[in-house]
Amino acid sequence: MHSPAVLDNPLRLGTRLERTAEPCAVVIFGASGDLTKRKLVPALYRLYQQRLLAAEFAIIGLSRSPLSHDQFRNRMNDAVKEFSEARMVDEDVWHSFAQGIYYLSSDIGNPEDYQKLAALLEEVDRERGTQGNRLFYFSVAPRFYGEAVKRLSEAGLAKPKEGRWTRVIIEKPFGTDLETARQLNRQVLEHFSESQIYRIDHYLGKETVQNLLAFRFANGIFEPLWNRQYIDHLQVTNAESVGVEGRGSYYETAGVVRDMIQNHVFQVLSLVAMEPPANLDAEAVRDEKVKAMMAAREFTAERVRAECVRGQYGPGAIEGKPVPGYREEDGVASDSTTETFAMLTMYFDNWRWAGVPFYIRSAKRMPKRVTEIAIQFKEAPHQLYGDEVMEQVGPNQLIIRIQPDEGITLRFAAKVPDQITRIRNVNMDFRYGSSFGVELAEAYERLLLDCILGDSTLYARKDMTERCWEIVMPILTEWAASASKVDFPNYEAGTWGPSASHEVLERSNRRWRRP
Amino acid sequence: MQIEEQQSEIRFFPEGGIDVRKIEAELMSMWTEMSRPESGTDAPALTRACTLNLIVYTTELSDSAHLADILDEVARRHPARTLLLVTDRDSTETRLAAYVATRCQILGARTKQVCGEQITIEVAGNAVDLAASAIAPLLVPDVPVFLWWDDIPHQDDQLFSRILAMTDRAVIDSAAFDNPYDDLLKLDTLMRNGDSLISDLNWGRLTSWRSLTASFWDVADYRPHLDNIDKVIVEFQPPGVASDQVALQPLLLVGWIASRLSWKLESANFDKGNNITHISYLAPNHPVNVIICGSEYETQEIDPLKSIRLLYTTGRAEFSVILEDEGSKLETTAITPDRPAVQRLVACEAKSDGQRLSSELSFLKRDKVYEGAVSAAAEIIKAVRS
Repeated sequence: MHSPAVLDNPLRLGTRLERTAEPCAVVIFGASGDLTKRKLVPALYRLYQQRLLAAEFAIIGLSRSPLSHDQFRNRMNDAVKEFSEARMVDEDVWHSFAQGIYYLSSDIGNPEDYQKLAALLEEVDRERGTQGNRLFYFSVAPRFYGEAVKRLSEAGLAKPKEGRWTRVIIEKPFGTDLETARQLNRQVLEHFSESQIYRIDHYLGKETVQNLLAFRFANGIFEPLWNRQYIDHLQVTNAESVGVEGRGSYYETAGVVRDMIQNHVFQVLSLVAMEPPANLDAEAVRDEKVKAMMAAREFTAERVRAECVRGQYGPGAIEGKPVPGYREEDGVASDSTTETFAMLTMYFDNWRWAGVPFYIRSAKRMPKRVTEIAIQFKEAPHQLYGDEVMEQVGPNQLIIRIQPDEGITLRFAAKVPDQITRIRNVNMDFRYGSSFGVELAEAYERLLLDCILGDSTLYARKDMTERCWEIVMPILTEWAASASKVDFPNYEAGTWGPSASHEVLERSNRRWRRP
Repeated sequence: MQIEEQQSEIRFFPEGGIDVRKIEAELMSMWTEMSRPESGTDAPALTRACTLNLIVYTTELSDSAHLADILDEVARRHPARTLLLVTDRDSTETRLAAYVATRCQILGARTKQVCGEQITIEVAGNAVDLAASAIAPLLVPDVPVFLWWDDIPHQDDQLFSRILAMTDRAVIDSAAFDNPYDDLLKLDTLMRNGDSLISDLNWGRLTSWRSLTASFWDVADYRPHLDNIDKVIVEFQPPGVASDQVALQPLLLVGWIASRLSWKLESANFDKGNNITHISYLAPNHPVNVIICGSEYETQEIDPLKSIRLLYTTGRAEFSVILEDEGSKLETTAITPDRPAVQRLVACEAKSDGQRLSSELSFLKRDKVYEGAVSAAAEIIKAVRS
C-alpha cells in the first residue's frame, strides 16, 4: 500500500529495503501530555533507530508549559527510556535524534503563537532540511480542534506549499455523538481537505488487525466460507481487566459505547464484514468498510431492549487483588448510570450476512485483557459419528486474537488415536510472536509512518466516523431515556459481565466463548 | 528464547545406503516420547512444526558449537527439518552415519514447545558422491527447500549441482571466498547459467549501507545533486587473504549503485602498491570516477567497509555514510551548498550469522538487485584483469 506521493527511488525499486519517509516536521499539540511521552516520541524514536525516518526530520512540541528546547529534549529522553519497548537508549543515537527536537511554549488560542510556530517551522526547514512537509498531531481534547485549525489556517500553515504536503492527525473521540462528530468534521474541513485529515484509531495499527485483510484476501480457502452459508454467528470480545484508572471524570461523560465500541470495535468489525476491495488503495479499502457499515441494521428501541445489554461493574477481584466498584472510583458519581459493559447484537442486511448475528461485547474489569473475533461455523450437516461421540466436540471456530498474544487459531475436530473412536477438538495455532520470531511494531509506529508516507488506509474517514455514530445513537438515546431504571452495579469486577448478556445468546441456543 | 535439543544416533553401512524408513521411524519414536502429556494433564506437550527444509552443507564439525548456535537461531523463526550434511571428501575411509535430533523452542512454562527436527548425515570418502541421493527422500514435501552451503560453491562440483537442483534457494557467504575475484566470477556464471536462486549473507551485511545510501534519493531537493554525482570514494579494510584483491563488500556496493543507476563501465585498474582500484563509469550524462581504497583501521574482519562518499564536485555537494564508534554506528551526512549539512547517527544492525541466515530463509523470489550487483562487480573484476 504505497503512497503515490513517495518519490521513485532507483536505489529502492525492486529491493527488500524498507520504505523511508520523506523529510518532514511533526508538530505535536499538547506535547506535555501523556500520549506524547508514552507513545508518540518513543514510536518516532524507534522509527528513527530503524532508519525508517529521513535524517531530515524534526519534532516540534507545543504546550503551555514554559520549557526550553533542551528541557523538552531531556523530558523526551526520560520518556523513551521509561516507555519504549526496549527501555534503553543509545545516548549517541539519541543525541543525533534529539538535534531535531524543538519546543515552543504556546497557547492554542493565541494567534501570535501560530506566527511564532510558522517562523520556527521556517527555521527548522533551513536547519534540518524538512522541506516544508508538515504533520500536525492534535494530542489535545477535541474541543480545541476548531480553534487550532482556524489559527493554523490564519497563519498560512494549513495549505501546503507547492510540491509539499501538510497533514493533520486527530485523535478519538471524534465527537461525543453524531451531531458533535459532524460539527467537528465541519470545523476541520473548513481549513483542511479530507485528504489531509488522518483520524487515528490505534487498533488499526495492530499487526493482527492488518493481517485480517491478508488473511481474508491473500488466501483462496477462507473467503468462500466467509458468509451466511457457513457461519453461524460471530463474537467480538473487547475486554479490559483495568478500571477507569483515575479517568473517572472523563469516563462519566463517555461510557464504553462511546469510548470503545463506536470507534475501535467498529473499525475492526468493518474489516470482518466488508466485501473484497478492487485493490489495496486506501480509498478502495475504506469504501468497502463504509459500505459494510451502511448495511448494519438499525437499532430500534425494541431491539435495544431485547438484544443489547448494559452493565456496570461492582467491587470484585482481578488476578487475586480486590478492586473497587465503578461507583467507588475517583471522579465517578455514587449513583452513576454510566455503562462500563455493553453488549450489542448486530446484523448486516446484505447478501453476505443476512440473518447472521454479530454479538459484540466490550467492558472494563473483565477477568483478563483480550480482544478477539471468534467466528463460529455451522455444524456439519449430518453427524456420522453420533451424538455420544460428538458430545464433547464443539463447532468449528476461527479465532482472530488482536491482543494480547496476537495470532489466529482454527479449532476443528480430530480423532484421538485409540482403538475406540473418540473425537475431540484440537487447535491449529498461528501466533505472531513465535511464528515470525520478530518483534512486532507498536501500533503507533506503523500509523505514524503511514501518515508521513501519505497512506490513509489505516485511518478513519469522515463518512465512516459519522456512520458509526449513526449506528450507536439509538442505543445511547434509549439507554439515556431509561437511565433511571437501571439496577447498577450488575456484574462483579473479574467476571464476564451481567447474566443478561449470556441470556441473549442462550435464547438462540448459543453461548459466549470463554477467551 | 531457549532451544532444547535431543539426539539419537543411527548407523548405516555404506553398502546399504541410507535407510529412510529407519530414520523416519527413529524420529517418530522421539516425537512420540516427547509428546506424551505431562502427568495430570490432557494436553500434548509440544507441537511438531515444519515450515521449510534446510539442507546445510559443511566440511567439518570442528566449529560445531558455532554451527549449533546458528541453527538454534534459525529454529526460533523457522521450525524446520534440517538436513546437516557433514562431508570429509579427503578421507580414505568410506563412511556413512546419521543422527536424528529434535530442536524445540521453549516458549515458556506451561506452554507448548514448538519443535523442528534435524537429521545429520556424515559422509566421508567415496560415500560423498552418494550424499545427494540420501538427502532427496528425506525432504518434507510441500514446503520450500533451502540450501546453506557453508563453503565456496563450485558449479563443477557434482554434489553441489545435484543438491542445488533440489532446492528453491541457496544461501552462501561471499565473505568466506578464499579468492574473491575468481570465486565471484564463478558465482556470476552460476547465476547467469541456471535457474538457481542465490542469497548471500555478505550481501545481507550491506543492508544498512544500502538503506542509508538509498535514503539520500528519498529527498527531492537532493536529486539535482545526486543526478550529477561524478566521484565516488569507498574505503575499506583489505582482507586478510588474497591481499592483492579487493574485498567483495566494496565491489558489491559499487556494483549495486552502478547497476541501479545504469552506469556503463568504461575501464578499471588496480594500483597494487597503494591498494587503490580506479573505475571509470559513464552515467547517462557524464563520467563518474569511482575509487575503492584499502586503508588500515580497527574493525571486524567480516565487515570491512569504512565509508562511502558520493560527490558532485563542481556542485560542492557530498553525501556520505561513514562507520563510526569502532564499528558500532553509521553516520550519514548530506552537504549541499544551499543549506546547512544534515547529519544522522544510527546504530549498526548487530545481527548474528544465525539472524542473517534466518532473514534469507524468508525470501523465495529471485533477487534481481543482488544479481545485478554481482554482475556489475564481475565486470569490474574482468576489467581489472584485462
